Amino acid sequence: MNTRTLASRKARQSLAFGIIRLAMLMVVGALGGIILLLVVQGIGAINWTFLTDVPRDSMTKGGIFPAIVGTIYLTLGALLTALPLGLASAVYLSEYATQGRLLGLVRLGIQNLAGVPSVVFGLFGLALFVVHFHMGVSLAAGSLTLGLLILPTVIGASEEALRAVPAMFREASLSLGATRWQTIRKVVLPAAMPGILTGSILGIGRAAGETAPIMFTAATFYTLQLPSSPWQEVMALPYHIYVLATAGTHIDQTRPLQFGTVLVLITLVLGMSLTAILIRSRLRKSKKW
Amino acid sequence: MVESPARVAAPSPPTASPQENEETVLEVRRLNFYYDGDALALSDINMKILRHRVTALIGPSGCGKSTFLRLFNRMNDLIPGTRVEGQVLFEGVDIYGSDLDPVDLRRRVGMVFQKPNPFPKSIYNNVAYGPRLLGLCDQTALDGLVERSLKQAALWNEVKDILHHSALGLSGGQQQRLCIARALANQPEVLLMDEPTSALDPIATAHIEELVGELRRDYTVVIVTHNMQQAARVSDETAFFYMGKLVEMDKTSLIFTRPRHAQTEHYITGRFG
Ligand SMILES: Nc1ncnc2c1ncn2[C@@H]1O[C@H](COP(=O)(O)OP(=O)(O)OP(=O)(O)O)[C@@H](O)[C@H]1O
Ligand SMILES: [Mg+2]
Repeated sequence: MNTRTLASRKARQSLAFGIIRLAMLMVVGALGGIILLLVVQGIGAINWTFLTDVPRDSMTKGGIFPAIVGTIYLTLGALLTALPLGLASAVYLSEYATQGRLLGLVRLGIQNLAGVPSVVFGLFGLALFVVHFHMGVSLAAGSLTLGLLILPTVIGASEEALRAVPAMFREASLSLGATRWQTIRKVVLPAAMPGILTGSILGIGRAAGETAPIMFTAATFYTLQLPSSPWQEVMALPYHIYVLATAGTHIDQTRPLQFGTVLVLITLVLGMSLTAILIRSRLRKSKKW
Repeated sequence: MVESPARVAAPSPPTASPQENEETVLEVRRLNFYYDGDALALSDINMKILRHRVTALIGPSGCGKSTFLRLFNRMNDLIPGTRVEGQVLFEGVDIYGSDLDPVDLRRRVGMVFQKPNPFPKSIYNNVAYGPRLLGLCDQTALDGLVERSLKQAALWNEVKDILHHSALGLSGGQQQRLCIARALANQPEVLLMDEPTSALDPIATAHIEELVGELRRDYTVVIVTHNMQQAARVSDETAFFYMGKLVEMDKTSLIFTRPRHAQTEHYITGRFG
C-alpha cells in the first residue's frame, strides 16, 4: 500500500516535471528559432557599408547609419525623460507616501499605464508634444513619448531597488539626526542607484524597438542628415524596417536589407540588456549586506 | 514611514521628590506604550537615568527592552500605529511634547544597534556622516572629529591607514566600534546601545565592554543586554523588565547580590528567561 502510493506519487511528479520541461523547451525553441532565422537571413546584408552608409537607390542599396544613430538618440532621450520622472515617483511611492487608498489608486494607474498599447502613446505624443507644444515631428517629441512609454518600467525598477536597501541603513541615518530627505539623498539613493540604473536600462530595450510611438512623433522615412538638434526629425531602425517591409515600391529587392536591419536592432537591444544584466550581477556580488 | 505617533496625555504625575546629589538626565513617568492599536508593550514605567552612569536593561526576550530603549530617541515613531502615554523627560523637557523635534533629539541621544550597520561608504565618511548633516564641512575640523571619535571608540589604531577604504571590509567587532564612533562623532549626551555585542565574538565583546566603561566618563549610557555577566561587569545601575513592566531597578551591585523581587532573582540566576 505504502509503496504503491509512493510509486504513483513519483509517477505524477515525473509527469508534471515532463510537462514543465516541455513548456520551457517550447519557449526557448521559439526564441532560438527567431534568432536563428534572423541571423541566417540577415547576416548576408551586414557589412561595413551597411552599418556606416546612408540609404541609396530608393533604399535598395547603401546602409542604415542614420537609423542606427536615430534609434540610439531616441533611446537616450527616452531614458533622460523617464529616469528623473520615474525616480521621483518611485521615491515618493516607496519613501514618502502614506499607504492608503490614494496610493493604491496611483499604483493602479501606473500599472494600467504599462498596459496601454504603444500606438495610444504615439497618438498622445502627436497631440501633446507635436501639435500642442509645437515641437513638430522631432527627436524631442519622440524621446518624450518613448519616455512616457517606459515610465512604468522605470518606476517599477526604481521602487524595487529602493526596497532592496536594508531598513537598518535608514534607521542608522535617522538615529544620527538626519531628516528623512537627508536619509534618502545621502544613504538610500546612493545604495539603490546601481539597481535603478540597470533596471531602467533593461526597460528601455522596449523603447528602442517600438515603432508606433515614434511614427507620428519623431521618425522620418528618409533623411541623409544626422540630427543636429532635438527639433529635427530622425530615422529610426524600427520605423525603417516598417517602411522597407510595407511602404516601399521595391519590397522584394529590399528583403535582405530588412532582415539585416532587424538583426542590427535585435543585437542593439540584446546588447543593452546583456550589459545591464552583467553590471547588475557584478554589483550584486560586490554588495555585502 | 510616519513620524507622528498619536499621543494621549496622561494625568499629571505627582511631583518627584528631589533625589540625592545625583543628576537625572532622563526620567520616565507613568509610561505606557502601545504597538498598533491596543497591543500594550510597556505599562506604567517609572525610571530615572543618572548622568555619567551606565544603566543596563535586562529581562527575558520580548519583555520590551528594545521598545523602551527606542523611546529615548523616538525611533518608535517610525513604526506606524504606535502610541505613547505618560512622559519621557530629557533634561527636564518632555521629548514627546510638541516643541521638540525628533531630528534634534536624535543628535543629542545617539544609538548603537544590535547588528553592526555601517553605511556602504568609507570608514571616514561613516564617522563624518553626522557632523556633515549639521553642516560641518571644514576639512580640518572634520578630520579632527573623525580621529577623536575613532580614538574614543578604540578603533583609531586599526584603521588610521585605511580611512578611505569601505567600512564593509572591517570585521564585525570593528564595524560595531565604527558604529559607536559614528554615534560619538555627533557628540551626543546620551548613548543608547541595544545588545551591541550580541553579534560579536568574545574578544570583540571584551573590547566593547571595556569601551563602555570608558565612555561613562563623558556620556550617559543605556545598554540592553541578554548577558548577565555583561550587565554586572559594565553597568552601575540595572533595571529588570518582565512582560512589559519594570520589576525593579537599583545599583547593579545590589541587583546582583540582593534582589528584592523573586522574579529578578530567578532571572539573574538563570532559572527562567
Ligand atoms: N514593530 C512591532 N510591532 C508590534 N509589536 C512589536 C513590534 N516590535 C516589538 N513588538 C512586541 O513588543 C514586545 C516587546 O518587544 P521588544 O523588541 O521590545 O522586546 P525585547 O525585550 O527587546 O526582546 P529581545 O530581548 O528578544 O530583543 C514583544 O511582545 C514584541 O512582540
Ligand atoms: Mg530587543
